[in-house]
Amino acid sequence: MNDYVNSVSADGTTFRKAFSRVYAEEAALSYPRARKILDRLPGSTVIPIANYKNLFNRPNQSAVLQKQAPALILAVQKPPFLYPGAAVCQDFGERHFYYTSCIRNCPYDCEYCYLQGMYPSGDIVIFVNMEDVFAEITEVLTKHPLYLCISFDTDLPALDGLTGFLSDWARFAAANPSLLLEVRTKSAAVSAVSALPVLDNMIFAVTVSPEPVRERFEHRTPSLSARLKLVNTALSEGRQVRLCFDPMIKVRDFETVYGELFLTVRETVPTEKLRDVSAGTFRISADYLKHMRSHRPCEITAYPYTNTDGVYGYDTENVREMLSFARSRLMEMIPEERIFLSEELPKG
Amino acid sequence: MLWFFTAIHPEAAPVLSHYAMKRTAGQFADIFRCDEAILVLTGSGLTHVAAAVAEAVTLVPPGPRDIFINLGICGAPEGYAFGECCRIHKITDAVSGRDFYPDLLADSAFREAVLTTYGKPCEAPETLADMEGSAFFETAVKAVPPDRIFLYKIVSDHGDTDALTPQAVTDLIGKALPGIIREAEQYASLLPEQDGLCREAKAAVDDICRLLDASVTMQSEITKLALYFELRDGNAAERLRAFLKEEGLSDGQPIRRKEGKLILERLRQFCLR
Ligand code: SF4
Repeated sequence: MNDYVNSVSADGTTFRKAFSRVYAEEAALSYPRARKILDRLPGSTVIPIANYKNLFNRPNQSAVLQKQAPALILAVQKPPFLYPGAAVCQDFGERHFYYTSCIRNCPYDCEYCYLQGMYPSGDIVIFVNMEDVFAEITEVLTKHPLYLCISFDTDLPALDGLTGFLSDWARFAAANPSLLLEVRTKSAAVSAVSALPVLDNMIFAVTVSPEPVRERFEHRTPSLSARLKLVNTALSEGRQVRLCFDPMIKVRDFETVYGELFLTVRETVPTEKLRDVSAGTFRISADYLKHMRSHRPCEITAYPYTNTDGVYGYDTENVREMLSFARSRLMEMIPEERIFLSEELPKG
Repeated sequence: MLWFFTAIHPEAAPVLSHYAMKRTAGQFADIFRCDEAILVLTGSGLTHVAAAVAEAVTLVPPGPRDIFINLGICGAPEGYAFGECCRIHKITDAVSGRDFYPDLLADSAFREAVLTTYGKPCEAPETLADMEGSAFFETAVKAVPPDRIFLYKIVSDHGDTDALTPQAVTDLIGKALPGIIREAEQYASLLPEQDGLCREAKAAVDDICRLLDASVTMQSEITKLALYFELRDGNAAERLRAFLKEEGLSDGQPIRRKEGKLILERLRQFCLR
């Protein structure tokens, strides 16, 4: 739970259970996916709405508090469905790098999460018309292959128990070999992932952080060992797995804290089976950080970052030190060509 | 602090007597205050309510844990019992067709309901019906976020208000009031306090600014570094004083700004240790 708010009042009042309120666009209710989701939420209050934007985009919301008791919003997405990957995101050498947002916002609550700067709300929007997204992708695939991140603005596996979206995506990926999907997650959704067919064009990108970093900044996320269990299960099933050490946070004793993480990974994960690994230091667009600073004053947002071309991050020297350290540890586990860093470093 | 907004005096009466409030200034509305609460008597109708809410928040800027409560009687369809108190989770303005959504982030002891706000009395309401809710919410949400706006409506009729006496209105509100106050106070206790630096940390920042002959930009930088200390370790004052000592500046003698800038850079490094 987040230190910034009190989770329990003096007399025992707490925030409501997540998704005890469901706002549903009238148009969304006619989709079978919406019905399935509602069936999984018996007891929730369903409030009809005309357009999700009237709710999600309201000004002056307490997004940090909403995160403690998020409402679910069921909606029908309008095009465009695909967006080009942002400059601060790694493209892993893929030329046609796009992302799609069938869910907006995440059940976890990381203090550094850029979604807090991007969205005015802490509620979660689920778009139920995935067929429209699939149609647009099919169209794009007639022109060129596609590297598509489907879990950028959310954590898809963490919500799969509610949505079942992973199997829809797996079916679609199986039928479209020129589509390469990346599913980013901090979850421990072993059974959701294991239930899927094993596909070469579906990468599970699991983000790991040292336990002290997780405990302090990544509220409600599964432990490191639970995430590594997902990694190991997926690898043993022959899946494509990417391990992400991103964002690395500049904590005191950085090398000790992150050194322990790299050691744990090396000792417990058959790293030779990983597709690749990525590492990056915390970085965020200046606009997002500005918003986060005013809405969530905390150690992460108050840090005196350096602004380089509209992106805030640690100063160059720190970034180099942190990335060099990560690279040297990663090179003990995996060939250099399979290591992707958020910033170019001199080789060697 | 709890803020109550009621349209008519019989609705306000139980709140006024519960808190023993005193009347204060107000041009568009009667405003009553005590240490724990404010009551704004808005008058009926959309325009009066909007003007009254706007005036109240201009006269008394709301604090970070203040809760705004619109409390009043309403019409209701069959299915809602006379005297039933409901917490509103959606408001529709019948005139503009716009919808508004208070965020109910903690459980309510009261039945949740939809409210429609009309420009004139509604004789056959399909939801709870009043003449203030949408204007209250639309104006209040400019001053406080939607999770701190509570609307409670107490069913007084099913479209026929003829038999309703002022005393009956007061009785209905009086009965629901203790539960409403409890609920609002409980939610307020979940909210974060105002952020920022404590008095000691502010004094340390002032001292550094003076000693470094800091420009406005430097002052802002020093304050931000102090906030970082505070949020990371919770001891900004202590750390800033330690820095002054380390720099040999504890004797209180100011230095020139040019040198101050160099020291500020060292403060930045000190802060990141
Ligand atoms: S898991 Fe990712 S998307 Fe979810 S809150 Fe954390 S950083 Fe944001």
